[in-house]
Amino acid sequence: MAAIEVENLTKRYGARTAVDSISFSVGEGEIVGFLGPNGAGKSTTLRILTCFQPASSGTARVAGYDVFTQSRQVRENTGYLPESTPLYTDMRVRAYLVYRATLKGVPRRDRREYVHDAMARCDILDVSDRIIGHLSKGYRQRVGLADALVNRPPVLILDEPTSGLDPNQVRDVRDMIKEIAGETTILFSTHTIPWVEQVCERVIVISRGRIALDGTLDDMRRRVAPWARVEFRTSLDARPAVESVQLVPGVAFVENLTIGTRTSLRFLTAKADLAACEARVRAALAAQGGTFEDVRVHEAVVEDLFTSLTRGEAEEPAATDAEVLA
Amino acid sequence: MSRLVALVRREFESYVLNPVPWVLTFFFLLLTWFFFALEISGSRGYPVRVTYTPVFVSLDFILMFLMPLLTMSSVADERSRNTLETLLTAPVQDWQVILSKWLGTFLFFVLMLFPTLVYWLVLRHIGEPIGKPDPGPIATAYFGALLLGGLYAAIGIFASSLTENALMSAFLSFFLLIFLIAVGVLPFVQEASAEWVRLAATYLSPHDHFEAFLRGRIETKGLVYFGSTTALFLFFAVRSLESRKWR
Repeated sequence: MAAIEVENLTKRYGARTAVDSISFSVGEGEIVGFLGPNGAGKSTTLRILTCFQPASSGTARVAGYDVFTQSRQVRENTGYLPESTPLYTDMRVRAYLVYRATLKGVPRRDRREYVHDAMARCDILDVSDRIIGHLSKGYRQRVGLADALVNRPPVLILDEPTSGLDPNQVRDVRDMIKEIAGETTILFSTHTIPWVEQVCERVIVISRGRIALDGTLDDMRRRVAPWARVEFRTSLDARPAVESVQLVPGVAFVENLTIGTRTSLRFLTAKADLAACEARVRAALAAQGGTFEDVRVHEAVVEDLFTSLTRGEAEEPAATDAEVLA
Repeated sequence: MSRLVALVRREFESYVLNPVPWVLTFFFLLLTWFFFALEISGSRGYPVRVTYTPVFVSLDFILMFLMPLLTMSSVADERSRNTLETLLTAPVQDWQVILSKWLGTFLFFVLMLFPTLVYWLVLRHIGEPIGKPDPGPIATAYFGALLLGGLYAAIGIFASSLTENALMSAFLSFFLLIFLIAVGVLPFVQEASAEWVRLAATYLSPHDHFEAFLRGRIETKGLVYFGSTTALFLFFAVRSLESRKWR
């Protein structure tokens, strides 16, 4: 049985569709990264899964319960860390976690142990008597995480658990997630790709309210393997350069990297076609009176796929783009 | 049950641990003393009859200012700090959240009322030549004060549930209270041709109901009034919290 099952989930705010008929499932014990740019519909989806908001249509089941008709059971079995980690800043860490454990129905005799356990896991025992408002951002994040797992729920839903943290703190959160992996199903959203590669094997990419990609990282590595990433500079201005390069056959996901005055672009192309494609790009730029220089060719990496999939909210992928995604 | 207790405790603590409610308590006692002194001095420092009325004579007026300030952040701050999301994604029900906020406020109001018991001693002292204050009317006066505070708190929490701006919430409950209190004396209501309009307007105001309690009378219509209006505003607050689901 899947721990999270989402079917044709749609959320509309008036005329705006935030989540557009998405479907996916997360198996028991799986860790899945939920990726997408800000405003793609990540938080909205997670809020529906945690019963904070209902969907406009479609169904979702978490831990075997329907989020709409069995909201209470879903909430009892889900630990949730909302975006921005809201906490009562006037409370002390231990008191807050005891309070949360009570709300989540941890029996009185187990409360101390559960709270101690959660604090030990999130490495906050040394601040257990401090006032939350006096803690650093990193510690607050850990308190939020301890809250999410204090009643040992089978499913954890974490909305951007690493936003606003420094690299060391990000590493700490990563280790914590790895530690609780196994017995717990974890769905977390993020927009930092390298982090996902370190934590989990499966990724769901959401863009403009739709699922753009759902698969394992190995899948994606295989998928990008035949592609190369080409970066170059040109004497043309950015806009005309992008426009003319986009029209060259065999070129996908043209991106403008310009910082300062020299125009710098990047695109993906098939490795097999690399030499010929470069020649075509050079010719296309020359036709506009532009140069094609400082060319650097890299292996395409999974991150290229993500940035390509999620940039430019309004753009529709071109024919070659779709080929890369296929 | 343990959930509700935990919720109420949290609400009560959020009042006790913050400075603003204590500042309001200070002003509450100051104003109570002021109106008490004013009332007493009207009879040259010695009341003609020793009653508890002077203590709470302006309570409905004082609380009209203080209760909106006391309750303004109860739901609004949870909204603006997003803690509402953590709260409502725990397995608690919307009515439990509102009820606990009301009970927490109510308990703090009880705490605020406590020091006013000193007037009992004051009245015993200055009433010496005439007689002791009757314990019966004192009990009903406090009973009425609790009902009044409960109603105002429900209105304040309802207003707070409508917005994420605490100040906006305070204004809102302030105007709701003014309307409720003053609807009976509005000119167009006074000049209304229909008798029932005037009666209904007077009935809507907590003033007369509260005054009956001050005079030592427990009236059924007063109990019904406070019970039903308090319940109504708490019900509105629950619906307002639920509105996230159908907006």
